[in-house]
Amino acid sequence: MNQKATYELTITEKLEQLTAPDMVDAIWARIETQLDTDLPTDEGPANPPAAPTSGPRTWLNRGFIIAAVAIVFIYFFNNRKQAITSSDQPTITAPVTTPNNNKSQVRNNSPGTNNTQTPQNNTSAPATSSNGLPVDSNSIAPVTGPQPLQPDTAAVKTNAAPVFTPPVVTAPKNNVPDSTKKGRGVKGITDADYKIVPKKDSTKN
Amino acid sequence: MIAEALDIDQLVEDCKRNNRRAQEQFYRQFYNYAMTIALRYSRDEADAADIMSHAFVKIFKSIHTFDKTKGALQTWIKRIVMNEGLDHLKARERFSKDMELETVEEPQISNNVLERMGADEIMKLIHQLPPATHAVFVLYAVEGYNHREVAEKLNISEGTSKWHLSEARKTLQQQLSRTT
Repeated sequence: MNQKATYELTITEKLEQLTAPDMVDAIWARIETQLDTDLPTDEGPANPPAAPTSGPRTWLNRGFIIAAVAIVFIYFFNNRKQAITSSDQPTITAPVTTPNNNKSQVRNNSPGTNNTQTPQNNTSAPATSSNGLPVDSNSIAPVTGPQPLQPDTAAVKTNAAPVFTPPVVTAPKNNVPDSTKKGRGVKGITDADYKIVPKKDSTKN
Repeated sequence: MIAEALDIDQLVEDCKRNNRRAQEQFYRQFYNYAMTIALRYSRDEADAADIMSHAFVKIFKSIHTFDKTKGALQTWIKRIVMNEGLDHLKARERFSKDMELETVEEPQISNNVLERMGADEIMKLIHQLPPATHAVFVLYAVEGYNHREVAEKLNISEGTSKWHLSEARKTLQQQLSRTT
């Protein structure tokens, strides 16, 4: 700092008394415009920009929407397929394995038995029924009643390695095998037969 | 007084958070103070308005760097406005480094004449000085810096600063003699 002369002190005092021109609003408008460009506020502009069309979150959302549409499509496709199948095939006959008393063997899985036969596939079993006729899988398959399974005594005696035997499927009791389609319900019975009609009380007469 | 200081502190904090209303309040609070500084370095009011708008944008951009433990807020504002004003003066004219002076003669300016003049009239006299001379005179005679400090601020030598001060005194003396 310097040592001010008298005239300099006078000038300084006078300049401090200077009244500022009334340009407050005009200058602020310029400042605000510049600040909006350089330092945009958190409040954001009046018209906020649209959401970004790229970025990880957007792709996540898109993936989720695609997955949801795919799930719905698969669900409806499966439902329709089932409906078509059920209308084409009124009844589904499960393949039945009828044990042959003479030839079929019950494998003994117990240790010590000598069963050298490989396990048979169950799907091959329904190829023929017990009476030797081919079974149509699409037709109503009256299945012969379950026959009691008897252990193969010869097999029991042998010492075979333990072999996993799938459970034998036994069909429920049924009647004679019939390859023809069977109609629904019992013949001769109508809906009227199921109607309950109150009978007159004979005691009141 | 304490409440006012707290208000200013809160205002500064809000400005640091880029709150536009706080910035406007801050600007209006310091408008007169900053404008009187800007007028010293300008040719006219329009020029002063330019200095003000640029200076306040800089103030709000760098207000997060303000530390009240290092200095008063008004001193900080004054420095920014003054630097902006000097930039305006420099933009008007390349500051010559050719003219140098070893010693500056004591001024023969009549203080009585100056006391009878109004602030606006004195300001007009200063505005008529060439930009470099204007800058040196304001820094030395009004702000109170010595020649070394003036030379640093304007990136000129001390001799050049002395030369400009001598020129300013001569010009003012001539103009004051005309008015009397």
